[in-house]
Amino acid sequence: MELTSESFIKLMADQFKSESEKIDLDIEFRSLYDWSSLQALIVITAIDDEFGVTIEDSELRQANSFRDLFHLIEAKR
Amino acid sequence: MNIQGIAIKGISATIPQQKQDNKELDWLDGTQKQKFIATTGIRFRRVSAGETAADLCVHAAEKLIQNLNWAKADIQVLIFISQTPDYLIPGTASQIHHRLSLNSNCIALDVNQGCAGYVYGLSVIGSMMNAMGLKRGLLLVGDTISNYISKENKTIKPIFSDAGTATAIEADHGSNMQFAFGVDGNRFKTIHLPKAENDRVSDLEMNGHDVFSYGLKEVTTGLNQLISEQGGPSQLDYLVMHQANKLLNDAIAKKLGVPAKKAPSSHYAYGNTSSATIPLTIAASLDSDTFATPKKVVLAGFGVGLTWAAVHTICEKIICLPIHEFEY
Repeated sequence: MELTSESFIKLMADQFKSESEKIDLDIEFRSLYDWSSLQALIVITAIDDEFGVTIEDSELRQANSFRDLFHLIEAKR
Repeated sequence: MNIQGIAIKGISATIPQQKQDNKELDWLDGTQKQKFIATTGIRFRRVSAGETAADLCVHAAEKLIQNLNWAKADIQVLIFISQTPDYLIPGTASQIHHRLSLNSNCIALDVNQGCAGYVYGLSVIGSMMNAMGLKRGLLLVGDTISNYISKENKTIKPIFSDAGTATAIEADHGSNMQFAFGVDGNRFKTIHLPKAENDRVSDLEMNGHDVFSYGLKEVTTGLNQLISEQGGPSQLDYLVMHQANKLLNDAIAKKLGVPAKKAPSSHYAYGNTSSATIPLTIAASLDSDTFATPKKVVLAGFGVGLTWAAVHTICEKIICLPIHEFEY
């Protein structure tokens, strides 16, 4: 899938179904109710599948907002 | 990396009677439990009530030897693959050899391997049999990892389960196995049992994220190469993977272009049984009728180490027993 902020936010909203209306680039994903170690695995698997980028644990630890995650994917593409 | 002239002739698996249900986890609410089961695919786990990996493997081996109608005196090599031996010293294979009443002129050897252990085991026993001209061997693979996971270990406990398996290996001139391996020892602590200190019992530690990135990159790349060398996914009948969890296994199968119907799973009923997952999944999902005609299979283990190992072979006329519960 082409990486745009819209396609990224849509993918993330699909992963945080109960909070999809809250998802935007400025949200800190760890503040969401659905966030957990399991949710992290769901998110990195979806990013790998859709954008062909594998996010490492050490990289995810540096990211706080969805914008950080988006820039990380951009940099790794 | 090929081994010729060695084939799988039988597979048997034994699980503990004690069954635990992830729907009864008291630290997750209903929605969280539902999400956990849907994502990992793991509902039930079999948990040792004191029986060891050796106990489970001996049980599986007795059933298999009986069904194959093998004479025990003909078994020339016994390999026991486990991370949960009965004792650190001595190795468990000699005890198992005694309990099975095998011939004294027999090789009996332990190998410490986990998620990739079944395929490693096939390579070890296959190489020895091929090099030494042996006719019959037993590969016993199992773990009782639950003994190293405390009830406070809430992220890991709902995943792991216990099982022991036996695989009968025989010289077979027409057979061929193609192996591929990978190791990333830099990440050896990704799945790790710290040394016990003072009175504190060791508790398994795992960085799930690192396992996932290893699976999605290194494992997938290695499997893709092996499957491509064998004509691609359309030529495969089955890809039997280590049952890490549904999310990771489905992602790997999708990246490889292997449809779900060719990638059997046993997560739901048996969880992640570490080294035992591949033969357990074959026993749970396939049967002797499946192998009445030749089937092209890739068996792939990945995880602890971090290591991965895969083998392509054609399986035919395998006695594949239904899963047994351990009898006390």
